[in-house]
Amino acid sequence: MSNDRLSQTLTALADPTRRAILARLSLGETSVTELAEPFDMSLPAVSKHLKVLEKAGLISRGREAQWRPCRLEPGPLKEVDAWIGEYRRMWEARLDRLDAYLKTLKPQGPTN
Amino acid sequence: MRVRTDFHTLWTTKLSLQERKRMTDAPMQDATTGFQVVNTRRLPFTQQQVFQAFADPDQLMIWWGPEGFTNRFQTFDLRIGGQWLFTMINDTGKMFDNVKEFLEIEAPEKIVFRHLEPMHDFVMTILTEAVGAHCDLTWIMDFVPGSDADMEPFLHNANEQNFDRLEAHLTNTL
Repeated sequence: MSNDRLSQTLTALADPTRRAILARLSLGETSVTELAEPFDMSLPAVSKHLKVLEKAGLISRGREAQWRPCRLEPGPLKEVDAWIGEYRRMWEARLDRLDAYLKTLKPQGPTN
Repeated sequence: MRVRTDFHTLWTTKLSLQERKRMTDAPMQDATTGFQVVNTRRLPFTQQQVFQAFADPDQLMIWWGPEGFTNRFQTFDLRIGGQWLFTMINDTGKMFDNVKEFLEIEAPEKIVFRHLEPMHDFVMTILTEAVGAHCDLTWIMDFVPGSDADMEPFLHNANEQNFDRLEAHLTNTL
């Protein structure tokens, strides 16, 4: 398995709890304790997920404050979006060609 | 060496498959290897007394931490998978919320926990060994790959202060 950033990001995203944590952080920065509340999960478990997200660069943690607030970092998500974007362009081009092809078929179709 | 193997087994079983793969697939030569902090002290107390000083939260909260720290315990659930949640307060009043999880308990010779918050990420192995009427206490901190190895002297010194406090506590109470 590759150690590149996209692989790291996708690995970190391949877990529903971590995606839920990111969704929560998209509303603003928060502490580990606050993050753990809605998840019915122990603090150690939440902390382990945060460490995976932090290593992947998807979140950053404050150094100064006692509760080390977690913050969403959009950089890696933009890279995922760019990667998906390549395929979106490809499919859009194919659909355009299909559309053009279907238009050429229309005149020959059954007309009654 | 035996301890390192124990730690390695724990570490790999505690991680998810993705996390484990990322660690094992990481190139060997880069800065992804962890580091260890090891402290040892011979104490003039029995193995049971030394073990109990940790296993009993009422004692532990008295001596835990480097010089100048006090503790407020919220949870001390000494069993495999149990949480240890507490606040350490230094002499300037700065607070550090700790999140730790027990991984292994073999009374009276061994306790292993993972430190998750704040800041660092390490697994700590506490070993006690009876030597005649005394007890050899060993602490091994295994830091995860990517940790800052420059902290080693600082942490080693902090652990020595912690040993001093333990020794003073045992001397005062026994």
